[in-house]
Formats: sequence, structure tokens, C-alpha cells
Amino acid sequence: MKEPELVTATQQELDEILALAKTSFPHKHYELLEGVLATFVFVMLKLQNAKTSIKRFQRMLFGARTELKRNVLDADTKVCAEQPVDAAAAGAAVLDDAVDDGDKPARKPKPGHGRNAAGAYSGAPIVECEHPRIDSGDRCPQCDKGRVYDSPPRTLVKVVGQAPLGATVYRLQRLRCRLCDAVFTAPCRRRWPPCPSTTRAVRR
Amino acid sequence: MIALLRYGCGLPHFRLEGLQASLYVPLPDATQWGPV
Repeated sequence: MKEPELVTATQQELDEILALAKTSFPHKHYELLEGVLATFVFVMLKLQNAKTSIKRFQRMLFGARTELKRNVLDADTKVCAEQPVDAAAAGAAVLDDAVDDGDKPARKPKPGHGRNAAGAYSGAPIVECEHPRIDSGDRCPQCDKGRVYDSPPRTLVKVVGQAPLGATVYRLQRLRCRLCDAVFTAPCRRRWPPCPSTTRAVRR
Repeated sequence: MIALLRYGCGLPHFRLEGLQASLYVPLPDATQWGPV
């Protein structure tokens, strides 16, 4: 196939051609020519803007590959809303689309991306951290005129990874009499309810 | 906790054993039956 010669034409020139063709061409052929010219304007505008990737360009020309509801409904509503009446309106619609469709389609953000408040961590221990140098009622170290008083604390939630079941090793001191071999074991600080596994562990 | 993991979250004992071992707090599956 022979490579075509690149033609530059203004919108006014294209409108003149369409006006001439409207009188001389049959209606069916006129509509075809109108569509071809509108496509030409659309493609040239997109290429001149140079913001269009090949993939996005393909999607614009041939539509989305998937049939997601938002893609299908968006396309339908756009077609219903912007039906061109004549050639000038078609050209204007193409120009508007070229400006609007450059950006990504606005998606509604998915829910469930918020954070939990510190009050939601009811099972977590609370550590009160006091200021190392300043107490309530002291002079302000910055201006040295006013006094500082208690304000609502800044709350940080620190989440750390840990094993589901923790273990503590207790080493109980044992004292043995060298003469009579009596053994005295220190009591464990913590008391558990009687549990077979704990007993087994202590016996070993 | 073992009962919650097993009956609430569907975590079998052998899987919990592996998890505990990887965190250097070993708890064999046979031992886990004791507290349950």
C-alpha cells in the first residue's frame, strides 16, 4: 500500500468541504464523509496534543475491552447526551471530547480505607508518657512569659508483630544443702490455674 | 487463644505449630491439646 501524503487542513476548510458536499452528495454518502472528517480531526488533535499513549488511543477509538457497567453506561450516556446535529456541531463535539477525554475517567473510591481510632484498640495497654523536663504550671520555655498547662494528649498507636501465643521462661533459684541434700526452690512470682501442660513443662 | 484460633479462625494445630516455631516460641501440636 502506498504511503499517503500528509495533509494539514483547518477546521474552517473542512467545514467548507462539508458545506459543498451537503448540496452535491446523497445524504448517505454525506453522512459517511462527515464521519470520516470528524474522525480525522479527532485523531489529529489527539496526536498533536502528544499526551496520548497508544493503548489509551486504542481504547478511545475502539472502546473499552471489558464490559464493566461503568464503562458501558458511561459510553451510553455520552452518546445519548452528545448526538451531533450537523457538521459544525459534530466538529465542536469532537473538539470538546478531545479536551475532556485526555484525563483518566473519574472512579469512585472504594470504601474501607479509613483508619481505626485509638479508642478502637480497647485491648491494648495504654502507656502514659510524661514530658521529661516540663510539668503543668511551669514557665513556657519558648516565650518565657506564659505558663503551660495540660492539653489533650497526642495519641500514637504502635502496632507490633508478635506470636499468637507468648511464652516466658521462669528460672527458679534452687538451693541445695550440701550436708543433707535438701533442696529449696524459690516460689514463682506468677500463679496459674492448674493446667496439665504447665505441670508437664515444670516436671521436665 | 488456641481454642479461638482453632475453632474461631480455622487455624489447625499443626499450622499454629509452624507459626510459633518460626517466631522462636515453639508449641508442638500435641502440647496444644492440653490447654484446649
